[in-house]
Amino acid sequence: MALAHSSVIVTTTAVDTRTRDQLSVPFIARPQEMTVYVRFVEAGTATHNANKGLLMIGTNISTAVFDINWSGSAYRISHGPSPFVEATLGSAPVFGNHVELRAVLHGDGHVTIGQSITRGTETTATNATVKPLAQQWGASTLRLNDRGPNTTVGWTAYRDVYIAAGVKTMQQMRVLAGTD
Amino acid sequence: MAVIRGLAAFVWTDSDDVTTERVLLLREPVREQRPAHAQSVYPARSLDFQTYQVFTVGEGADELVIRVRYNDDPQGLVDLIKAGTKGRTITYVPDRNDPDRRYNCRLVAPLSPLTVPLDPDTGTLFGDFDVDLHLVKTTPAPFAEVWSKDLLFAWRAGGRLEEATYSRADVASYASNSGGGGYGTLTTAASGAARTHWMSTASSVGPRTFPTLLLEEQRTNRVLSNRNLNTTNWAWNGTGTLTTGQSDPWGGTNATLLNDASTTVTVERRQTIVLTASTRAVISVLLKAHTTVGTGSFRLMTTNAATTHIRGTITWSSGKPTVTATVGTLVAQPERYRAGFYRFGVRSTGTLTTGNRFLGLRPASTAVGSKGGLIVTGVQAEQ
Repeated sequence: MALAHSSVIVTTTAVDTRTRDQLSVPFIARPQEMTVYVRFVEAGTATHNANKGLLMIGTNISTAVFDINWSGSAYRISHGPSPFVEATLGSAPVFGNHVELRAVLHGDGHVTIGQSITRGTETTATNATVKPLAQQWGASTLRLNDRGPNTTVGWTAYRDVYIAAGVKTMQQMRVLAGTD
Repeated sequence: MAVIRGLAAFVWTDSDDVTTERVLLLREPVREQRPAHAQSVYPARSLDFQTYQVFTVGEGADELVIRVRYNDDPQGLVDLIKAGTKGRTITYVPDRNDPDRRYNCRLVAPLSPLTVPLDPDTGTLFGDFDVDLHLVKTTPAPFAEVWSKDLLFAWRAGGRLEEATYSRADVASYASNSGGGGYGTLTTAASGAARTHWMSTASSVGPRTFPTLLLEEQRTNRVLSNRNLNTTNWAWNGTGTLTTGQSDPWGGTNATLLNDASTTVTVERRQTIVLTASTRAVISVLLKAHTTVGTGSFRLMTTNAATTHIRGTITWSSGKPTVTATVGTLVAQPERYRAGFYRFGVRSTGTLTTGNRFLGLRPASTAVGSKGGLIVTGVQAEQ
């Protein structure tokens, strides 16, 4: 369902389809207390009412994952596998917003997600449910814009992705990423 | 930030040794780390220095130079260098609390024969040693994320993605910031090329000053001949004039001028498109003001014109449009591109049924006495 326009698709005598982008990179750090910082321009994911991926450590939601995704109404952090420990933000960006998300995996497995839109005050959500950390992620992979190969794909213009050990504030991550 | 002391180590296996594994614990954290690169390079300049040429062999190898300081195990250090000299794999573990993060390397330098130097600060007082180890990975690749104990991953748009697994099965568009004042030249990325898409600040109308990596889901454009509106895929309702070959945001001439010079009828350039899914739809278009501007509009409607699903009305001020969604929802205010073009989209409020629809572009308002022109390209209908 198209709720925002995507990049221009040139046509001539027939309709034309632009296929999806798919990207993953190696991520070799073990499950540990850490903070994920993603800065991006909202390019359409947040206009949808269905699950869409933004960033996932692991390979799919059936295995050990740390997953920032669009819930259908707001961005959410999910620590899997099932039963997931999830926290969902209370507000959402709109198309074209400049967004910073900070997702924290605490040492006992509970999660926190923070959001700053256009450098505004950070809003946060936390799920204090404890979940032991897995010894390894489902795969030593970091995926962008989906929640597994060919599933729940979004639209995002990424600027920065930084992951640090330990619990960091938004300002600390901005300093680390050089975005402050 | 957390500080980790004394948790780095080198490990190696040497068949000349009776132990299963040798370990050199590093007394101090490895802080002095420097990237390096080695490659066979043959540059040459002409005698008048006007021409430069270079011949390189392969991609070379990314290396890491680690300074090991305050070492109080001289024989362990020598044994490491001896093992490296023999070509054994030396594994660097930056943090023993995270043992899966390790780097299998070859020792490039120093090799035997050598004399391990004293540490300049503590050597003569405590007999500590200091040596730069020059390492290359056994599988040549950069040393990702050794640079900070706290940093597990770092990437910035425009940065390296050579270790990434990326795919896109066909071409796709993005905005580069070269040419046209940096407002965005539409460019085509080849299949399998990740798009570094330049964007502007929140106002969306300034020069594009920062790069992004644009990743998108699959979409289909249901409009045919979306740049050249002078084909049989389009038709006039009313009689307007049309001029192709207009400058476009690709840096070419694939835009079309639609002109309504009539004071007796309203003109609209239309195409019948086919909706194939029962979902909402988005119409987007790149527009530029003509010398004679009117209040233009575009719309998506049933083929009997009884129902309008999307209507956007455009007014102009100093070449900049303001778009109002009179039917449907404006996705965002216009985004500027090269050559004075602006792109915007309007989506339907509700779900549409499948079947044919008219997509219409009006250069001037519905008032029959209204005149004006629009330069159009990149018309897009998505579901």
